[in-house]
Amino acid sequence: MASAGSGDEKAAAAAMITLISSDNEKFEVTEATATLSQTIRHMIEDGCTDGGVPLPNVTSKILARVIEYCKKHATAAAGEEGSSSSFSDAAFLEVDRAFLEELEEFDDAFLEVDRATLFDLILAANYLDIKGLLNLTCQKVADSVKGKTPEQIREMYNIVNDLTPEEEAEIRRETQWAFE
Amino acid sequence: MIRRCRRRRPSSPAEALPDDLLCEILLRLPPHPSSLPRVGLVCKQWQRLSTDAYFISRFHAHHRTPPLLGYFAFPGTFVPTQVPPCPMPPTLCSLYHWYRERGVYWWGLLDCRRGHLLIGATKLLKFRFVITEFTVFNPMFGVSVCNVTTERQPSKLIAAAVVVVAVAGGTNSYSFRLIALFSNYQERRRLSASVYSSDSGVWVNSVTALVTPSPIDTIHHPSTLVGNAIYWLPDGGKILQFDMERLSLAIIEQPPHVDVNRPRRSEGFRRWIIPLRDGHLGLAILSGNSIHFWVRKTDVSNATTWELCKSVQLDRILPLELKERMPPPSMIGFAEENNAIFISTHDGVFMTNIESMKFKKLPITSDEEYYIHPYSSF
Repeated sequence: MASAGSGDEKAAAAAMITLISSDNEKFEVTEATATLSQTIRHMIEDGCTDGGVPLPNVTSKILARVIEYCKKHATAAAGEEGSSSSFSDAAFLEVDRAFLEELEEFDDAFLEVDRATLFDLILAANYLDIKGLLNLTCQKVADSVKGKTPEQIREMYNIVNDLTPEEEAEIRRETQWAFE
Repeated sequence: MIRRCRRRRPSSPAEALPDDLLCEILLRLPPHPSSLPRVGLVCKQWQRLSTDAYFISRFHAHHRTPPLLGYFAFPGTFVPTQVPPCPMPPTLCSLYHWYRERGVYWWGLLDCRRGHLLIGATKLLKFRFVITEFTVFNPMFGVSVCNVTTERQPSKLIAAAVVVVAVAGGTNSYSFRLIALFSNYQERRRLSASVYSSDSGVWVNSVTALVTPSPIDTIHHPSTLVGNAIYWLPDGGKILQFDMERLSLAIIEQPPHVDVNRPRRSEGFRRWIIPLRDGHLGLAILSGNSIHFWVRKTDVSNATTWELCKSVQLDRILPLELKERMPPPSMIGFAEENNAIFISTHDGVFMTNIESMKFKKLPITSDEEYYIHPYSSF
């Protein structure tokens, strides 16, 4: 994973960007992959990516996962652009649908991580400003909370209940119906 | 997006999330009324965020269309339609209780729009039951937004509508217009309208009165909002329009060749005013087992005409067999928020989107005696 995107034929013409994780590991990725992150896109536009992009908030473990996501979705974005400009026939739509399904499967598999990793991915997606990844990971947490009691949510995410018994009683009185 | 430096990693992962990211998660909870109250009990941070007015307005924007929670049937009973059943605020389920607590015994639901109910409380005046007080009520928050009295003797209220015009950032700080349509007891063909604005707190009367060809009785058919005008369908085949900008009342003729003039009890269940794309006025007419959709178009010379834009055979789009001896289908309600018409058939009630014609069978039966007021809210 560390040697991501090492000079395949497609990338020959594309500019490569080096990303440096908090634990000083270097990842080489194509510009198309890197610019899924708005943060990195702005850095490229400002011309401050020479010598690599330090990402002091992202560990190598998380950055490898983020790059995996970006690579897959950068290919998807390139595919979409191609389809809208030159093809619109039914056969191509069929290919599109198959690709979208594959992308969905990828996303599902991608989210099969422990809770701590999921939260680290949310923090990284926010820091790197990757809209798709932020949506995906936040939706995963929201889905896991859905229909759960407050006690179950606290247990799942190791949250300490800091509401006083009086506050809790008052909230319960106001929202009793929501728990019936 | 606000970027923050990561703090020292605490033992609890959820606590590691700053407010803006927890908001991103809570935004994606399902748009059911119980979603946010339930998570408010987790801890202080979750409570603070889930009840914040700005967050709630973002939650609404994120989900765009509020879910259909159920409908109000005559005379004001709430029937939930969520599958699986989801908890609802008690004020939504028992308006009777809410009113009885306030000493109001005679009341009726007059209109319902964007989560707000318009209720009229009646009094016995000179041997007549007349509506003297309106309440605009948001049952999700259990609060009456406004009580308005009207002194329009000797006028008879024949219809009323509520239009929610703006959301001022908060959870229940709505601005609205209340439109009341009156006829004169002495001269029953003479109609006039009054508009109450919650911003100014005063009633404004329609510019002129409208004289109709025949007397118009109380209109039970629920109103529809299209663009800046409220439309009613009184018995007798006419369409009444009240333009809220010009404060003017007008009669619009139905499309020609539409046979709804027969004085039948079920006439109203066969036509419905609907908003169409680009703010066009539409009319859905149920004839036999087909719905015909008409659109009102204005040409370059400013002449208006009805054009038939779509005809749909119900047994082609709904999973049912329609036979002659069975009671004919009827249109019993329209949900503006969901752009869906409620079609009652011998095999149940189908909520059908008028654009896509996609339907959802509701877990209810209809006795077809009364119109329903679909209720959608977050």
